[in-house]
Amino acid sequence: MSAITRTFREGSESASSGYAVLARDLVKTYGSGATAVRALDGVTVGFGQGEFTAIMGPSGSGKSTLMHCLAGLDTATAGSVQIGGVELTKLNDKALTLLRRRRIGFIFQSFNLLPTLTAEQNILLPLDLAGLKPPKQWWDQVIGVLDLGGRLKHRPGELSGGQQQRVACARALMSRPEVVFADEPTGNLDSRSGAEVLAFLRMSVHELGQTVVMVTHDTTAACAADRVVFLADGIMRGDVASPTPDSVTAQLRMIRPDRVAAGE
Amino acid sequence: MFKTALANLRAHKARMLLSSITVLLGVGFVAGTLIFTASIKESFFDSFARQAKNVDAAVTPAGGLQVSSIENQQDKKTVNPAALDAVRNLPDVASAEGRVLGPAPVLDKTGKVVKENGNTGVGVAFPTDAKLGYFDLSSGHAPTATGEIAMDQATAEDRHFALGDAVTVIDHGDQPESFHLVGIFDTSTDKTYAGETVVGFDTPTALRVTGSAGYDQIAVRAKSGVSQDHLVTELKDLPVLDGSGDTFYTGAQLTTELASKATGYTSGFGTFLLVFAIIAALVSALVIQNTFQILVAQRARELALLRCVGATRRQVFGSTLIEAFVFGALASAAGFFAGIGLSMGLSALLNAAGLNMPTDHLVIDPSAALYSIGLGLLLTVGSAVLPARAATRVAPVQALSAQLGETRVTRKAGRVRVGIGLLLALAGIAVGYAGMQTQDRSRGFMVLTLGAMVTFIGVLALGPVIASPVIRVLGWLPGKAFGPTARLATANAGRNPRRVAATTAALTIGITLVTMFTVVTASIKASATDSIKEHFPFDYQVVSEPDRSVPADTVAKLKALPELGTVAAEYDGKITLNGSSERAGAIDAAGYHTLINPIMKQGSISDVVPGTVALQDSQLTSLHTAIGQTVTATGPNGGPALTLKVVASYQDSGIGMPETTISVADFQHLDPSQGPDTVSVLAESGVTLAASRAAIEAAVADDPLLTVNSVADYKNQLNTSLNQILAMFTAMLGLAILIALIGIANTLSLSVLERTRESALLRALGLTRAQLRRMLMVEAMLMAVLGVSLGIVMGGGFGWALVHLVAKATGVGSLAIPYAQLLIYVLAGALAGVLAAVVPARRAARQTVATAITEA
Ligand SMILES: Nc1ncnc2c1ncn2[C@@H]1O[C@H](COP(=O)(O)OP(=O)(O)OP(=O)(O)O)[C@@H](O)[C@H]1O
Ligand SMILES: [Mg+2]
Repeated sequence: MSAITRTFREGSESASSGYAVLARDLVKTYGSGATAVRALDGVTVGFGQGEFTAIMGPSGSGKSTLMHCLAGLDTATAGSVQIGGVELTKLNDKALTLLRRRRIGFIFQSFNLLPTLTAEQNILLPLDLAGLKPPKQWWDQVIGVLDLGGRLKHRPGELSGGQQQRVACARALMSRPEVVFADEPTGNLDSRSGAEVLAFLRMSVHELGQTVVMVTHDTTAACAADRVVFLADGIMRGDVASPTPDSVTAQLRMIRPDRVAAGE
Repeated sequence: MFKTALANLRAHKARMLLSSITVLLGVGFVAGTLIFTASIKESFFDSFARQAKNVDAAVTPAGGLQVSSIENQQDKKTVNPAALDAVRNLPDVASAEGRVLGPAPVLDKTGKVVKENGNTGVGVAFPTDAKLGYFDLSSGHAPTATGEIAMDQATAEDRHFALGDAVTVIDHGDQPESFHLVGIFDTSTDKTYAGETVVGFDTPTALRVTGSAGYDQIAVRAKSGVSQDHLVTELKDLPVLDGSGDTFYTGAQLTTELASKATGYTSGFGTFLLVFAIIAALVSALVIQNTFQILVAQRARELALLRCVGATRRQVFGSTLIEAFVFGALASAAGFFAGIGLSMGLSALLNAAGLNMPTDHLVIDPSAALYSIGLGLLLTVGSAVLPARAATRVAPVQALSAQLGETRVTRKAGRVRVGIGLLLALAGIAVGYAGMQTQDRSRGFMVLTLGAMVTFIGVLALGPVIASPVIRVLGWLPGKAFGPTARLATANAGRNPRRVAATTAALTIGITLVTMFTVVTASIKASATDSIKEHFPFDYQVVSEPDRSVPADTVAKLKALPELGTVAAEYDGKITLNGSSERAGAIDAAGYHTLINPIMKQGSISDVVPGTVALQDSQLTSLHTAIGQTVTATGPNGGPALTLKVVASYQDSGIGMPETTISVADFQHLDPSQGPDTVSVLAESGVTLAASRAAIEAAVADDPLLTVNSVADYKNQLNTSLNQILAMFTAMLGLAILIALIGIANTLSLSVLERTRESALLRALGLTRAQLRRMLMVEAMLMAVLGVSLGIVMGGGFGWALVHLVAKATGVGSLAIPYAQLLIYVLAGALAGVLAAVVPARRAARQTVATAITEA
């Protein structure tokens, strides 16, 4: 147990820069020639340890692309990404995979869970792949906070959308990752379930010391975060600390006045 | 709708490719069989037709036309040898030849008898009129004088004989005779002699050496201007050809007769092949049906969208069928061409298995194309009917909600299916059990086969129910070995039991048959030597060539050897009992209870003394006699009759006891010309095996026509031939198994496509590429092992029932389960499963995570 606990801590100790995630001059181009799309056009951004950050921006602005590059799901065309001091762009596929398994948690908008596994198996999957088990106390704490005790033996098909998202949250946190990336985690939920998920993410940052980066379209969701960064056409277009609905809306209007007025 | 169907096919080219290979192989096998059968038929006819070359009329004995040495030499009738001169003297005859075919063992340069495939050589008569000859001389000239001989090229090359050499042939009276080699001829394209050694003599020498009483055929060439019919009429009028039942042919009739002989030779073989071809085709139909089912499930949203925009159910159904039709037509046509190649492969395979098949023709009948492509279409369109019906059940609203095929974990199999499956399986077992209880062996076999087939269908119907629990059990070991990846694979393999069951069923069919053959051959191997040990407990047997006997002085020499304990000569021949022809055996009285030990029903085998007879139990009824009554026996060549008292009966055990056993004295009385064909020997106790064997070998060394066999030799011979048969069955079923494995690869590829999102999620959560590949390989492995295990269980059961049936009918036979071999099948299945997963696994692993995860 002590060895495992040590591995669990290792990540947090190694980050000396104070940033859990740091991207510099990140460029991502899809395709080539005339049809090339520059989804990220030189993004430099850092996400502090123990910080809850939201990423906002119009559709197609490159939010998902940024997240994928930060999380090592996709390789950037140029620039650098560091997670806990490790340079991702220098890692091969296998090393990236192992890094994701141990140091990164994921929550997607939908299709988060494997339909063949029970909730419990889904939660334990990344640790299982690494051949580890969570400390009992941590397990109890996460399951208790997310109120999943009665649902652990159920398959995803037998859970509501909100419950499924809570299972995904539990999985993302179970390995005590360096950072949790969430791409529109509340996009498919009603406002109450969404609020529960957001409350949990907040709590995990403020009480459990996790780092969370969340992409969202929803101003209310963004305001649950400590900080909001804005993206438009693959470029950083603003950074708001302690966001309020007013400050967020104002910023959005500034980067794309027409669309935001109609959309959000 | 036709356009939609075509567009679908085009869009799913990659998905259809693997499935089309299965159709291609199935149709190819059928086409290959048809083409192959037609081709060997033509080649056989070609061989046989040499006999009819330039022949205007032919006379054969009552038995009819003999085309090859394969046919029975015993009791053969011949044409009166005096007839040849009479025929030659007819005014319309240009030339006439007496044809002879008989045994003529040739010694090689070391003095050993030349044997090919266990057969000694045959001798033929070379004609004086070369136009009536059927061999092409490659060097030298035809033998025309008493001391001359010609030899086939293959033997000459093998045994290093050259023109001018002396060749020793053992004549009918067992005397070695030396000949001068004057000609070498070519039989390479002529498979009439099935690879045997052939030597040629002038006609009188051929008669003498082979011991033929007369000709097998007189072939006649007419003077020009004489019609064949007229010639035959003249022949029929010859008094010397009268009364013995001789048969007359015109040259044209001879050709027709030879063609029908060729058909006779090949049709049984063609049917045998066709059975396997149809099994392969059925297996591919299963695979196709499964593919269509999966495709329809995957396209549920697409189909629903079609329904939304106004397509009727009928149009959806029709479009699916049209798709199947176009697909089937393309794949079947390709399969037909593959069949042409396959037919060549078949000849290579069969020749490698020791079956000497003529292959100098390739006959592609339009009917072969028609049948095979027709079958392919029928199978594909037929396979598409159920999936097409499922397609019509897709409701338009599903366009908005349905998830892709397998991403939902499907529910349990329907209750109706379970009910029907159980009912069929139980009914099949009951019928099979009834078959096993039947006394009549062939009827029992039919009933048992029916029961087995019904059981099989029942078990296949139960497949989806069996699949999940079995997969869970099978997944335990890989789960221990590979950890989470294997556990994920087990969950995946078990997620859609219906799909898995349908996929593995194809494999189960082939493995069931292979296992059945394996168990049956293993049991035969075990029981055959058991029964020799129990009922014929000899140490050695000295056996003569067919139609010859062990010389009396050799028997005496053996009896005098101090190394040997019991030595008994055995006789075997045909006699007539109460008017019906029976096989009769006799053995020196010393052999009773020591060398033969039949399962007696009444009396004892040692009751058989001159004037008495023992019969097979069943003979008592068929000869209308009983213990204590008498029967009348006459020899094969007439002669004085004997009245024998029935004193004992033994079980018809299928272990080689003849129908009738009489004393040696009576046997010699009935058939004075026939000597013993076997001498059975028990070594003196205390003498080592090596010493006793050496003593026997030394005693028979100067007689090249005798063979010494021990029980172990017999066992080896039997094992070799049984292994060959099993290997051939397995090779024949190999294609069906290959198709089934492609089916697994196919299902897996389609599943991988469906699970793109899921795979990406797993990769995001930390599954490495290698682990993803391993996961899919374990999944395929589990499917393959499931199919193989089911097949082994069922095939083992059917094999057991068969062995039991035979044992019950004959009193001999015990089940032997070759566990090691069956385990090898399971392991081979596992390995094949892994190989089947290579391509889909690579494709899945190549996917980049980010793109796949955003894909809806
Ligand atoms: N695989 C791809 N190939 C080509 N272009 C792509 C690919 N993925 C994304 N893009 C393009 O990159 C740009 C950024 O896409 P991205 O998905 O990051 O936007 P987003 O901000 O997440 O939008 P949304 O809010 O709609 O999710 C878009 O113009 C998109 O068309
Ligand atoms: Mg996005």
